[in-house]
Amino acid sequence: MEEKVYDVVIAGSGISGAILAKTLTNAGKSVLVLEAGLAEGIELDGPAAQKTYRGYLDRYYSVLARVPNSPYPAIKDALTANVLDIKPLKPGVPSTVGYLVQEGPSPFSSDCVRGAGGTTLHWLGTALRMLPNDFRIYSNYGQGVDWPIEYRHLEPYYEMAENEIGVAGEVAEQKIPNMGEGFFRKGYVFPMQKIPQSYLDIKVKERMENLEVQLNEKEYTLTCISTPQGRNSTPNTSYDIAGVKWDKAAKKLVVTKSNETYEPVGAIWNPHTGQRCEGNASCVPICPVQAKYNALKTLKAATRDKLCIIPQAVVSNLLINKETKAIEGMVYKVYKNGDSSEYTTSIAKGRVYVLAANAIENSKILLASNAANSSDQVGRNLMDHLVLLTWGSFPEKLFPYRGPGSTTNIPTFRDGEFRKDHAAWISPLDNWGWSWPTFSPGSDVSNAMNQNKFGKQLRQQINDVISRQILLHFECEQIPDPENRVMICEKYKDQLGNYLPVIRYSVSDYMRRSFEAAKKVSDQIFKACSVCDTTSYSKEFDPGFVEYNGKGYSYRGAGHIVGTHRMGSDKNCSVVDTDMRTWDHGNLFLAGCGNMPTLGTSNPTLTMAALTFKAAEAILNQLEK
Amino acid sequence: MGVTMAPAFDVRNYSLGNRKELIKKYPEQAALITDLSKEAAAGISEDKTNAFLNISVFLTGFNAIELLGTGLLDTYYNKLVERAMGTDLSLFFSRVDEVLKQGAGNEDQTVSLISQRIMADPVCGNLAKKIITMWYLGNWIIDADNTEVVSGEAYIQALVWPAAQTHVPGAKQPGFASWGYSPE
Repeated sequence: MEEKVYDVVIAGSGISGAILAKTLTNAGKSVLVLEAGLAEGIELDGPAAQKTYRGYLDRYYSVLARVPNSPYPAIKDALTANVLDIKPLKPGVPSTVGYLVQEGPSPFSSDCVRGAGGTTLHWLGTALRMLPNDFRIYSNYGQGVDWPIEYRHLEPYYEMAENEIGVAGEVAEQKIPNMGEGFFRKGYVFPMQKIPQSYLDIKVKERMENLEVQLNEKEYTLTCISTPQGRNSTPNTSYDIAGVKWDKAAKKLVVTKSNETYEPVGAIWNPHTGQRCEGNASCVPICPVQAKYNALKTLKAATRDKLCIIPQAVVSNLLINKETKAIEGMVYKVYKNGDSSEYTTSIAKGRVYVLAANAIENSKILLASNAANSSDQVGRNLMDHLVLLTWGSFPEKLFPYRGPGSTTNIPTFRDGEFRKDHAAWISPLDNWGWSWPTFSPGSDVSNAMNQNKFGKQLRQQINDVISRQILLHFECEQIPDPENRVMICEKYKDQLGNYLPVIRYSVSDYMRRSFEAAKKVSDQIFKACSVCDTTSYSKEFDPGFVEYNGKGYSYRGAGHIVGTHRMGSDKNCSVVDTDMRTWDHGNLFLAGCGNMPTLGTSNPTLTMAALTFKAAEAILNQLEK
Repeated sequence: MGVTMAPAFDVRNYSLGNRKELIKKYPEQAALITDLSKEAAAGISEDKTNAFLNISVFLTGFNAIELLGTGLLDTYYNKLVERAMGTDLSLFFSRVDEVLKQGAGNEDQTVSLISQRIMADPVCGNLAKKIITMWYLGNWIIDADNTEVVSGEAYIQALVWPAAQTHVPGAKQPGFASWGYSPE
């Protein structure tokens, strides 16, 4: 039993837990992190860290289905969502195939990592800020809700997040609808120069830069811009931020300046490894050299003698003082070996408690504890980016399957009046061919086998088919719906006696209209590029198949799990305030994407990291009162 | 074979890989299974590795150096012998010997013979495709519903990637900024 009372106890060592651990310990606070993943995962130094990571890599090489969680160990005592468990749902029959109990009617189609470093182990690394209008889609477009803060309030924290992650990008190229003046602070640059755009991007851009497309009687001009991402590249000599520091007197987190050139943060086992992206082209699910950011790098940079990490520790619930409503302890179960169902129960004590275990786990823990839920919003407003994919054969060779997953995107539909009618989307250009929707290139080989192809003819066909594969994404912003939610139920528990998440989820007409619109835009892009469109959606095989206006579309999950304990200005319809403190419990903060009231069209990690710095600042102020 | 078979044991289920399981399952057929295994083993001797390499060149469209360069010739040959049915293997290799002999170094003729006498044959064509799949993807097709990865190294050496003028995801990384240029 832990008797020590830490300054802060944190559930989870993903990016939000790691940023808190680093920021708080660097400010002199004692921090306990409880991590559900295996002990080997929290090795942060030298050969031990390399051994663990090599284990992930070997698993990735040896497994048949190389899905996002494939390198990482499946732990029976700390299960997680896996895309392999997503199946078409039968009405009225909850699917219990995987960790998520899916009530439907539509399957929630994303996964996440449960282990040290969290989902940043398998994320792509795209690091985009939300747009100013994303914070006010109710006032602007009558959809969703407004945030209780504006873009400009978060801007300084975005700089901290971009520093922590190590973002490579070109500020001057970021021309995005309605971004407004002062989107980036004057003179601001990213830590590193942009990741070079792919040959594929260049060829596609040749045919579609400034293409005019029609949508619902309006004209839009498509542009392609480089995508900022958390991946090591050439340092930007004009970048002058060294890091983030707690300014006790000013009661703020501040960035510290530096005259030294930014140094990319390499692999945790060897700083000289991973100094630049080497083109492994396997970012999802694993960067073999850790040129891609992962949260273990942040944990490693914490003040280590102030940080205690307990692995194999699954937080099950919070203890609440009946009178004061203060949290009195965080109950956690330490399992013996991952599939033993043998565990010991302990209580962690802190002056402040934080749940940073991801949007699904945070909800589960709060619901199990009957905590923080006077608004009845805990678990509700579950959101994802619903991804429509379209694909085809380009008239000339593009040589996909090279470089990071995406180096360029089309920002045209990230904002606009159309958001009154259908969701906004961002369109990344994908560098990895048709692998996601059709399981290329395995499917290309089996197709050739079905045609009895062999020898030089086979090799030629493989070359011709694969080198011309183009894939477009339309990542559509899901609007919050209180009926899309994470719940718990006595019937569904794991072998440690912790609840399984029960998901209720549907795809609204607002989303289906955006699929329809996206397909229309895709058709025009493909026509302009002379692409032979081979997109197909299958009612029988695609779990995310939906219909609208007589046509079928299949959505896929982007891995962006958001919204389940949202921030707000009214405690009757939100779970946390603008400091990420729960309304109901003065010493309980929540971190992660669950705080976000809406999603925008950006991958949520950068925004959630910015919010986490904001929360760290509030926690420090609270501790020092 | 001149042996009476009990109805429960079907010789089509026989393969060198599961001889021990079969004897466990049909102990009364132990003698027959052992005979079959001897017969099958007799068809597969040391020098079939060369035939395997030669036919693999024609099946994959990669030359012998490229195939040897993967370091997986023996691994794939052993996988084939371990997993394929003994009688199928005998037929396959005797067909391969015929075709290579008849083709006598003439590429077009050999390709034509392979097409007619191996790819078009149900047993030989099936094995040929499994062999191609091993070289191209590093996977062994067990049956219509089951595939297994031969090994992590086989994944890394999969030829589908060089065929597409790229490299395997997660290994053989070509270096920073390389993806910005055409490989040609």
